[in-house]
Amino acid sequence: MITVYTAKNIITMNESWPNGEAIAIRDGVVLEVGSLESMQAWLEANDYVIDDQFSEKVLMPGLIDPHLHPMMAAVLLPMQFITALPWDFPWESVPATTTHEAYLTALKRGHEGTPKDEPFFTWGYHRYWHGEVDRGLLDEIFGDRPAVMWQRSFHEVYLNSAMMELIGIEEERVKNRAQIDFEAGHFYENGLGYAIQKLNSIIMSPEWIGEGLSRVKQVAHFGGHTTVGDMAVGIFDFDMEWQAALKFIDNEDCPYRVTCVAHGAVLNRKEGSIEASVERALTLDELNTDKLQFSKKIKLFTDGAFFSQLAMMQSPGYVDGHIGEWLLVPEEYESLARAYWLEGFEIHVHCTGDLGLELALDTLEKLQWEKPRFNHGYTIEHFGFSTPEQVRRIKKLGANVSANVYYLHELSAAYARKGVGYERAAQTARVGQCEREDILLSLHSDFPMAPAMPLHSAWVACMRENSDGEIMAPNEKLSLDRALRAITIDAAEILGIASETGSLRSGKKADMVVLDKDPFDVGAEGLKTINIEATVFEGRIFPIARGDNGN
Amino acid sequence: MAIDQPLSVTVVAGYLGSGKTTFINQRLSSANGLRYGVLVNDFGQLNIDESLIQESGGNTISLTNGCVCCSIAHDVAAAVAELSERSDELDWVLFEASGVADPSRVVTQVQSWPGYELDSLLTLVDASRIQMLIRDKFVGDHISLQLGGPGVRKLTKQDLVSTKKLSEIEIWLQQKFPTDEKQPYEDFYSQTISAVDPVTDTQLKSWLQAVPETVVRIKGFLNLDGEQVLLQWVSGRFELTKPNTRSNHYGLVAIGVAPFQLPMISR
Repeated sequence: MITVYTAKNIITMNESWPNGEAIAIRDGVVLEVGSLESMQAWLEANDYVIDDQFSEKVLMPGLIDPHLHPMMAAVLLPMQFITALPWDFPWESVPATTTHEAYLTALKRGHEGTPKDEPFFTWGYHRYWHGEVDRGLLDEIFGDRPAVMWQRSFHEVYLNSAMMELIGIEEERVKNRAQIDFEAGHFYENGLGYAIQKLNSIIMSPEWIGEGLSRVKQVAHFGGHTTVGDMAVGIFDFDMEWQAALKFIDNEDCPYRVTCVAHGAVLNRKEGSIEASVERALTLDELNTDKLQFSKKIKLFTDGAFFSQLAMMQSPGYVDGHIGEWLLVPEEYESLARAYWLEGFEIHVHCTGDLGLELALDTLEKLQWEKPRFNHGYTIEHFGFSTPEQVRRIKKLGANVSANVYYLHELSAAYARKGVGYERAAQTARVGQCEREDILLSLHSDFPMAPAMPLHSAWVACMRENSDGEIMAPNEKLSLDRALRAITIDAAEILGIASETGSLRSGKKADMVVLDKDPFDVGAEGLKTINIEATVFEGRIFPIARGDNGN
Repeated sequence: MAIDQPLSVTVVAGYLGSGKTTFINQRLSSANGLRYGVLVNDFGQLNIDESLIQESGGNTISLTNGCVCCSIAHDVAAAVAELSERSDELDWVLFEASGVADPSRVVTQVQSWPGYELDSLLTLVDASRIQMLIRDKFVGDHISLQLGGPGVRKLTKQDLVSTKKLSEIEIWLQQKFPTDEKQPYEDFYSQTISAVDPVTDTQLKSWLQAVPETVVRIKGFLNLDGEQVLLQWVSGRFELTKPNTRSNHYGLVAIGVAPFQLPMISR
């Protein structure tokens, strides 16, 4: 049986055949996009139904975020969000909480509104907005109930007395330790490791991860995704993660598929040698299921976290003179990259600073000299700071870019003031030049680092508006068409699945989003106002209950 | 309740190929009764004789000489917690820093670990490559941080350069990164006294007063007036506690920074 959906407009993201008003689907596959008249050959030869429930809507290919971290999100999402910036979830809209008093009120409301026999976890505390909150205040609010207050950056946590008692943190053990303040219940940077070690029995429990992953599923659906890339499988524990993914993702009710890319550095440490880790990576596709798919891809790393100013910068570096961090020693990065390159893997390399990028490009150039490859899929992930010369080199070496433009939105104002200065902060995420050089480009969220909302990412890439409302480096704006490609067909190509999804054409999987407005009508500035009303995954409709995006 | 003695930590820092693993291997193979806990990035690099392995599982390898190796490759905090749970069985910890670690960050890191105490930081410097590495566009800044950082440094791979070149490098290093520590890094020295006879309080105190200055730590079980006690002595301060579990053997191990000879325990 063929189902034909009619629509106000179908944006195919296939440049050869850009629009349609009807789409015929059978067994989850697109037969034809066009008009009812143009697809008569199919309809005369088969049984069909015409479904006009989307006749006033706009259909687009299902959205793709090629780089996020479901397991990290699963740890975070069961916590109550109390945040300075608003967050929008299918189960609640989290309002902005911007004062000390409002924060304490929100904590009390959270305490009252949740089962008192379970520990309380909140995420999003930030001293700048919420003032000083410590163990004493948490004890006042939560009494005997164990409570944890996680800081926005993930690098700090506060515990109340009941929680410290529950997980066995004793004053004798932790007094006089660096980066642990027992009195305040404050564990940060290196001290955080000790607290997390103790909290793991709760936040890594099957119940917690299960709750988290079902929320991740809702979030991904809400953002309009039909495919996501898990860009570091094994980040916590490969087997535990895989079992959880099989249970929560690999079933009929999950409205998206996952392209799985193993965390190459963890794999290397676990297997004990580069040769053994490449061997292991080559066999991962034996685990594949319908919804969880490994392919010949590997995730590697150069420099440290953008959010922590640990990106490695070329001269003149950071304003305060500090130096970033290498996640892999450069020589080790090169050895790992070489081993995977020679085996024909597509390497996805996390780079945040322009020196991190330089290492990725120097390595690629060496590898091209040693063993030239075309269509090699070497992808620069994150793409925080770069120079125009490096972007030209990306083009010459045939690499791709997957950019996290949220860096620009959330941090460029702050990093201009305190970080790298205005000129370089403004040119964070140099995506306009990627378009000028015709480099294959996708946009990603790195969720939970940024909201998993591809249309929002596209809005940032097109508008380049930061958290202060200022337009940063307007020459680096992406065109609307290129931004939409970067969350559909080009993202699919980066994940190596462009022949299956990412655009709507005869033979592809029927993955779609149902929109209330046409992106080309509302333009780049209107992208944030578009509501995603449903997704369609391989022909099956998954309505989005709330039907608004909170704007 | 007695306070657990913190585990003393020596950080072994230095770039790739500077000899960190060789240094740790040497310590493990000539431990002389000293029970090292070792936190390393990669077991595979350690040259552990199969016959010396008592038990190995997951993140940890226990050796027949009492040393324990723990991998920090995936989760430093877990490895640190695991070793600290066995602190009663260990005398000293060696912590292998990443090849591009900023030593001041490593110092803070160790200082944040409950149950540990930073004793020293040793930075190994490959004499044959240092002047090339410091100009490297990717790691030059980190190498400078290591050379200018706290602790003592030791030139390794001296045999790969001429005597003339070696003294040039030493002068260059001292000019560019002057250190207060004039003396070169001293290896550990240890002495074990097994089967100590019962002693009285007075005998013990007078013996401890005679311990040579180069000894930094003494630990072990004694029969004090007919009762088993755990002695923990650190640079002149000491503590006697009743052990949680009775040990079957009496004996002491002393650690020093220069060769030493313990006096006899006079009776």
